Amino acid sequence: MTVANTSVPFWPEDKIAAYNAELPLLTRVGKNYLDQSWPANGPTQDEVFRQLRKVERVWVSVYRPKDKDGIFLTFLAGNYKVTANVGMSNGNPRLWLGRISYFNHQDQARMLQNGALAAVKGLLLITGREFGEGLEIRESKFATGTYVTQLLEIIASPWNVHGEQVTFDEELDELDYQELELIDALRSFVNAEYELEQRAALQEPPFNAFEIQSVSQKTTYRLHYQMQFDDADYERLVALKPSLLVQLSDLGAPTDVLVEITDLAPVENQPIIRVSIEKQLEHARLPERGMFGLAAMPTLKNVREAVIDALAEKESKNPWLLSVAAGTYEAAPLNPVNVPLPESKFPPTASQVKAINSGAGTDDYTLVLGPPGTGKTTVILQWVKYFAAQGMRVLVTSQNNKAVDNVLERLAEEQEFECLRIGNENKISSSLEDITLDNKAVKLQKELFAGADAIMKRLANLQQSLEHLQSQKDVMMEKVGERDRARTIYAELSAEKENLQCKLPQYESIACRYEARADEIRTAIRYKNRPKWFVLQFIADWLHERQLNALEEQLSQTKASLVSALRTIEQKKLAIEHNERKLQFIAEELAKVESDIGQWQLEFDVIVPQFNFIKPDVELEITSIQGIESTLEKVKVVQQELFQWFEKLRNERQQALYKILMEKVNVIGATCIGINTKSLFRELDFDVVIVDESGQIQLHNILVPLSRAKKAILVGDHKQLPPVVSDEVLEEIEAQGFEDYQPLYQLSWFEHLWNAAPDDHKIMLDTQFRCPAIISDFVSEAFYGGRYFAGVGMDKKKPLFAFCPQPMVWLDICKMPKNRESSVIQDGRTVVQDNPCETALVLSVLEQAIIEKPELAINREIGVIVPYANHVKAIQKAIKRAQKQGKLKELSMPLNELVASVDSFQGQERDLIIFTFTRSNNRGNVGFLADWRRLNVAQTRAKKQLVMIGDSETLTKGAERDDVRDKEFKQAMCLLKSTLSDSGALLNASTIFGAKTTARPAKPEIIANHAEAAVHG
Amino acid sequence: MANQNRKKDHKRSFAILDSYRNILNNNLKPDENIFYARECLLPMLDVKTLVKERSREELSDVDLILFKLIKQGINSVASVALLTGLAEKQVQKKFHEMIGRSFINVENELVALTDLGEETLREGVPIKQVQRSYRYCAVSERLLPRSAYDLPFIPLDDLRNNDVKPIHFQHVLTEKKLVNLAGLDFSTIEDKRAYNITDEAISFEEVKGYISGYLQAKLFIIGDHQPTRALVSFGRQYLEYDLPQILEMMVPLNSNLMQTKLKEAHQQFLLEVDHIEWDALGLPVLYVDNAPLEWLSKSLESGIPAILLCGTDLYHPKPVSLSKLQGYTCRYYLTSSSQQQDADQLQAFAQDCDGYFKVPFPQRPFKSIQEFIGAKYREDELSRLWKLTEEYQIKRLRHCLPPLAEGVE
Repeated sequence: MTVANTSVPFWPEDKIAAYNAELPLLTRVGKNYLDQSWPANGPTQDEVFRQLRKVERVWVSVYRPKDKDGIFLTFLAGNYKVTANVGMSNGNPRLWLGRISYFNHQDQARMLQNGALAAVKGLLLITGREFGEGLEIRESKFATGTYVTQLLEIIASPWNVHGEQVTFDEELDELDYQELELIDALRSFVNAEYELEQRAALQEPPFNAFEIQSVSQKTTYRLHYQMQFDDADYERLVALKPSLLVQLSDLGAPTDVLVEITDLAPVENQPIIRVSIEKQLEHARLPERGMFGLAAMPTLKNVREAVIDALAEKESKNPWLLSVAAGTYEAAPLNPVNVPLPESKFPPTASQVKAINSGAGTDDYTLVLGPPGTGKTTVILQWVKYFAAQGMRVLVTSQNNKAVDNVLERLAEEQEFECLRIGNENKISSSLEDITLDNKAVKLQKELFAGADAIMKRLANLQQSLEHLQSQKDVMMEKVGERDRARTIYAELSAEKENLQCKLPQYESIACRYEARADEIRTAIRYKNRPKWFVLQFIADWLHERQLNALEEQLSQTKASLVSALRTIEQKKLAIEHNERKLQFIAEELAKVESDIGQWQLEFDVIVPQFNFIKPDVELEITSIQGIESTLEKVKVVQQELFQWFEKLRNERQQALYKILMEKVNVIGATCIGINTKSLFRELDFDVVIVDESGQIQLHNILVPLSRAKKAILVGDHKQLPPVVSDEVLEEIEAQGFEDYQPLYQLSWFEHLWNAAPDDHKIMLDTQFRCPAIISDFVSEAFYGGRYFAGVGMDKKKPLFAFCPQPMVWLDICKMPKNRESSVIQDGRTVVQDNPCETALVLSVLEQAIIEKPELAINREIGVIVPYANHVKAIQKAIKRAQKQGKLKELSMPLNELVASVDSFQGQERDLIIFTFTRSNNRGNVGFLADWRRLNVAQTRAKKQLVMIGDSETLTKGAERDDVRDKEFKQAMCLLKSTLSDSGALLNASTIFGAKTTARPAKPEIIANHAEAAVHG
Repeated sequence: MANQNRKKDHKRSFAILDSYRNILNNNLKPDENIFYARECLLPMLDVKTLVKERSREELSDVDLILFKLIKQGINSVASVALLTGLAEKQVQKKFHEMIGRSFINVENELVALTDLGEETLREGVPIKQVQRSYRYCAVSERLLPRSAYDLPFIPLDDLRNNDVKPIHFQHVLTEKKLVNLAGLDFSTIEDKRAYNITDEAISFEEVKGYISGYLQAKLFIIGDHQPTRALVSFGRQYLEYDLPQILEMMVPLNSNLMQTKLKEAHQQFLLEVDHIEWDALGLPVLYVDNAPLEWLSKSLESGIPAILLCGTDLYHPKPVSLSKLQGYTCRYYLTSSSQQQDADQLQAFAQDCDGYFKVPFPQRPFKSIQEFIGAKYREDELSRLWKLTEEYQIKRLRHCLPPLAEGVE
């Protein structure tokens, strides 16, 4: 609808109640309905009735007096205000006229607020009798009184014909109940975590950095510093391991400057830490000294809240996320695609192929359960290759940097796509340095400008070619003209020659005729020379003479004609000869010109395809070469514009180009939160998001990456480590009234979804190629319902050490003296500190392993997994002590990589894994070992040999009881014990390491001595 | 939220007060009076229209090179990406953006600049078509001024909403059944801001829809001694309306009931209303016999005492508003000759004083009003004025009088 000359109705049709029928108001015969104040010169009642009959729109309002039954109606029609009441006739409603007056603007104002405008076909003022005899008979709505009910309905009267209140349905909110409640629950998760973090931060006394120095380090957005504290503050920092500090003002109030701790121990034995701050902060510079407090991480909260807000506002890019989370989503059947897989020495397993095809074909989400060693990364690589080939951009993410790095390290090796790792560069693996933002940008920038140079060169060549064409254009046009002219002349001459040749025989025939005639005449003359008649000689001579003369005359004429004909013939012949020579010449000229033109055409044909990449408007026909000029002009303009464009890019700061450069990347790796922390990252579009280790990620974290794409693949294993959940947060969530949602917080969303998703949306990778079969067989039976299989060759793996009869052995310490755990009571809770017996055995096994397989230490293929943090430290100390004594020197790897908790080892693998259970007590108390998922993770890290050290009595005690909390774990341990016992792999540590007399394959005395010494020492 | 609503209401109520003050202070011509002042419901359309506007932000470098290349016929994602070195995905995204903003259109996967795109490239800033809402009078068929946007608008759908401020007793202006939108015409608008149009707007393009409803404004009928023009005030700004059209909807007050009410209302001041006449508009004109001094010196309208408002043989009465009249006014004539004389003298003096103050300060012939009055009036006249201003307690006028010469009473 254009603006000019548009008229619109003030009352649009949809705002007018459509009654669209005559509305009868009943009157009594002879009654005056006109108001008392009716002007004397006003129209009569009949006149008013007639006017009202013609009205097409009336205002109607309904009124119910407090002190009377029934309802009253007011109509404003024309200039009149008409009142009526609803009366009953045999139980059927009728409208009875009340009074007619002129309306004023007060009536109008009241009507605006209380009434409705209705379209009618006149107000019909008739008597009750007329109504009964006419309308009632004609239409049932009048007989039943439905016409009144209808009127009240269409004007949305608050009362019905009986004066009873009418209620209207309220409009429903856009989000349904489950979705709204879920949104609130998610907000509560985020708030609870942040509040507790803040509370903890506030309770901690500040740290005094008495010396702060800037440190030169190249990272994209951060400035780096080194801070020195006194010993007490430093010890507190090391104990708390905070990731973020906040600078405090002189009065101790927190400022806006957040300081991220990058290294808590950069200098050995010095109370120094390294930190970094954002460059973009205003006055971003730390003072020479200052106070710092613990800080809650606001970014985490802000990022998650922004995503929740977007979900609540239905503005998320992911259309299914909220409804899937709320359990209201109905997934369409998943149609797998057939992803072409390259030939390989190690072809993918059937479950891998199924996972690859399903993930590639999903329209919403796919869940892939990947137990240990089943080739998740291989599958992820195939997805990434497939999506990248489709021109899609993939986000590869996980909860922590380490998990992201694990996948990215593999993907970065590929040449088929550009890979970028974004996030805090202090926390990114050094092996991914090349693909961090800064370094990748340098590479992409180089490529961009190299491409720019090539393009500019190509355009320059094009311009040159076009100019060359253009320079020849005039000559060529002339030649084409010449050619055309020559062709014309040639054609004319040819035609003429043809004509002449046609006419020549005719002339020759004439000449012949003349020749013959001349012969005839000559013959006649010859006869005339010999007269035969002497008598009439004279007359005869005279006659003869006359005839002869005539004949000679004829002969002469004929001769002349003949000569003329012969001359003409000669001429024609000459002309034909001339034409032939000329045609010959022209043909030669034409051939030359056409050869030139042909050459040019060839040149043109070579140049024209070069334009394909910019689709110019050059005509491909040589006859219309006018396009050259305009194209040349365009090429020049494009060249000029591109020159300016590239110059501008060259002069920009590198960081200003990030936006352009990042768009060139197909695969981006970032943590779940990291991908949304900066606007630069938030602006990136993703087609697919692949979440690794999603069995450890709760909904309020995983929804951040999932909100970035319409397609998601969640890879994980909820039978390995679950998310880290603090009891305090759970309490806080309960305090906020969301106790029903505690399970949602406690478990990973992957686990929730795995239990709820349709079968075609979930695939389990079932074949492992990491552990010896004995390990995976046990794990399969204990944890995966027998659906976890060892791949080809896994059953052929031999034990690594002489003292190990199987690739999985259990050194049972139940018979060892002093085998109990040591613990202290802190805040009413038992805190396990150490198990000296197991610690000593760990050292013994390490020593034996190095003796038998020194390459394990060289290749850093040993891992000691310990469930308790204090026990980790105890073992690290024991190793340090041993190294000081000149033992275990071969262990060159950092101790925190050698000995670590189960959580630290998830996602890793080593040839030799030593797993110590720590717990040994009379009560059979196993603490948080009861979460059998730790056992699963610990066991499946071993590629060749698993050595478990534990007290079988403690670990299996009470397994038969139904009421124990750790029943599942205990039963798994019973199964493990019997399995190992059957295969001779349950070793009595005291028998093997406890006595010098025990038969040992290599230096058993050393092991035994060491163990004894450690226990007694 | 509740606070915000309160704030809004607060602002709105001040907008209404503004309008009254503004009319009184700035929009009354000399000798003009207000005959009728009432909150009104002005039918209006909230017209949603596409407006062509110049963007405030310049084109980014990436946008600019894309525009330039498309202009030169480089019209596929692949070609643009190849030439610029941008990622195809980014070019694709940009093309989508440009399509969304109507800068380019696509045919067979090749793009070309639209007229808007050409214009954008020419101007160097994005020319966008944005949807804007304008308040358009459904009575006078023209755009409403900027201050009308501060006033409450009640869409038709909300008329029956309980939250809407009661609109009873408001003057409802009559709308046109079919409202012509020809008033949405840039050529007739001199000051864009005065009509709530952004400086960047270039033209109205297409009407996308509208919402009918009523604007709560204030209606004034003004004139010298009879109504001559009608104004609807929107706070600081106002528009003139067709007086006969407005008067058609005025309901005369000339009822017996009103007559009785008026007489009763004046009895409390011991004012004897001799009789009431009704003017052409139906407004009452009261003839007063021997009005008590107390009433004559009482402030009736804007602090002006009755003696200065009452009409006499020489002066027309000034309209006086009464709460009972709900926006209508009444006028008083004095029938007592002595009171008429007092009123005439005082009104003449008041006019002289007002006349002096209306002259700009540097141009005044006298430095002070007292000097001016002293020069204009004779001693006996001054003496009389002193007496009258004392009697009727009109301090404002008394302060304008020069001190009397010694010996003069």
